[in-house]
Amino acid sequence: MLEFQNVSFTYPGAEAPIMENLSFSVEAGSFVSIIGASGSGKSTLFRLLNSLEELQEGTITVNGRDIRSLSHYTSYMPQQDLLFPWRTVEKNVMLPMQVQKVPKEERKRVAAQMLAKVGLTDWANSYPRELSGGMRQRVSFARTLCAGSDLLLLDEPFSALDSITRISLQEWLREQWESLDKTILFITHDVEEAIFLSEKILVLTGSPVTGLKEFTVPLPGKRTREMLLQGEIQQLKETLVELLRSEAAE
Amino acid sequence: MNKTVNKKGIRDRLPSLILMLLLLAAWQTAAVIIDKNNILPAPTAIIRKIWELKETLFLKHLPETLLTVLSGWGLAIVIGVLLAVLMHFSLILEAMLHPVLLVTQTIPVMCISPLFVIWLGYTMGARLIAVVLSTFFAITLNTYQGLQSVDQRKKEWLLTCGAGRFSVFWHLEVPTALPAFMTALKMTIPWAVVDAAVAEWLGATQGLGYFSKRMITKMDGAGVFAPLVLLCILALLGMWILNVIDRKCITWRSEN
Repeated sequence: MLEFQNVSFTYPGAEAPIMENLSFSVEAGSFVSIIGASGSGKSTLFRLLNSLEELQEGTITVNGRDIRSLSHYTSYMPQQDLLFPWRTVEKNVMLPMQVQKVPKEERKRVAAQMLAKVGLTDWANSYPRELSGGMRQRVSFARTLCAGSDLLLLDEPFSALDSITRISLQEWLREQWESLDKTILFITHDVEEAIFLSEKILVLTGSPVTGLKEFTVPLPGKRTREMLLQGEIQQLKETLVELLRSEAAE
Repeated sequence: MNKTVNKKGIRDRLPSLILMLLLLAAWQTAAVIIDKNNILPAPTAIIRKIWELKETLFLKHLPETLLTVLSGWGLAIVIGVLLAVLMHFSLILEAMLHPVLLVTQTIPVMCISPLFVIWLGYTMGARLIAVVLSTFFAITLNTYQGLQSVDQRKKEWLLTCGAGRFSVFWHLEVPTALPAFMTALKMTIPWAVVDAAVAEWLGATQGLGYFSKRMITKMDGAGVFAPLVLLCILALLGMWILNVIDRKCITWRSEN
C-alpha cells in the first residue's frame, strides 16, 4: 500500500537532516500507529507523504505509484478538526468532494452516508460552533472519509480532547476501521492509544531518523480496553515507554 | 431570550443616549440664551427647518447625494476588492501597488477635488472620483490583509484533498477575508457620505452638501444644519444596515 524507500529530508535552513535513508512499508488494510519522541519527525513523515514538503531524496509510493505522479491519494485528518466555521456540518463533510468536482447529488448522498456512519445525521445543518469537541472530531473523520482515498492519515486526532471523550473516540475509531476497507496510519504520542488501536506500532528511532522499530500488538481484532491489562500488553507498553525515553534522552 | 437581549441592548446604549440628550439640552439652552438663529440655531429650529424644507431636501437633494454615495462607494468596493485580489495573487503587483496606493492616501480629498471639477465640470463624475479616492484604500488594505490571514493548516489540508489555487481562494481565502472586508465597508460608509457632501460643496448644482453651502450664503444657520442632520442620519443608517448584515451573515468572525 505504502512504501518509503531511502527517504532523506532536511528542512530548508536546518543544519542536520531530520531523516536519512528511511525505508519502511505499510500493508493495505492495516491499522499502523507511529510513535516517537517530540520533534522526532512524526509530522514530517505525514508532510512528505502529503507532498506538503518536497521530497529531496528517495521515493514514496502508494499502491506502487510514485506520489509525485498522483493527486489526492491520501485522506488526511489533522490534529485540530480544522472545520470551516462558515460551512454547516454537511457542507464541511462535502468539501473534499466539492474540491474534486464530484457532482452535487453524489456529494449529498455520500455526505449523508458518512454522517450516518459517524452518528451525526441530525446535526447535518448545524454549524461547527454548535458541536462538542468529540462531535467535531467525528465530523472531521467523516470529512476525511469523504476525501475518498483508501489511505487515511490521522495526525494525533484525539490529543486535544479530554480523556473520557478520547477513550470513547478510540473505541469508536476502532469500530469504524473494522467496518471500513481502509489503511490507517495513525500518529500519536500516547503509547496506550497506539496499543489499543493498532495492529502494528512503528517507533521512530535515531536523530536523524534512519529506521523504524516495528512492534506487533498481540491483541485480537475485536478488542476491549480490559485487554490492555494483560501481562504481555503491559510488557509491550513498558518496552515502548523505555524506548521513547531513551530516544528522547539522546 | 429576545426580551433579555433587548433589555441588555437598551442598558448598553443608555449612557450614550443620556449624554446625547444632555448635549442637545445644553445646545438648546445656549441657542436660546444667545438668541442668534443665523449663527447658532437651536436643535428645535433645525427640526422645524427640516420639516419646512422637506420636499426640497427629501425629494431633490437627498436622492442626488444618495446616488453619489452609492455609486462612488460601489465603485470603490469594486476597485478596492480588485486591487486586493491582484496584490494577493502577485507579489510583484503587491510590491508595485502598495507604495502607490499609500501615496494616494496622503492627498487631502478636499484640496484636490476642485481639480476634478476643473477636469470634469459640475458633473457626477467629479464627485465620484472624490468618494472613490477617500474610500477605496481602506477596502483594498482590509480585504488584502483578510485574504492573507488564512489559517495555513486549513490551506494545507485543502491541498491534500487535491485543491488547486482557485479552490483554495474560493473555499478558504474568500470566506476568511469576509469579516475584514465587512469591517472595511463599515469604516468607509461614513467617509463616503462625508466626502460626497464635500464634493457637492465644491462643485455641484444639487445635493445635500450643495444645499448646505447655499444656505451659508443666505446666512441661514438652521438651513445649513438641516442637510447636515440628514447626512448624519444617512451615514448612521448605512452603518446600521451593514451591522445587521454582518451579524446575520458573518457568524464566524470570532472563530476565524
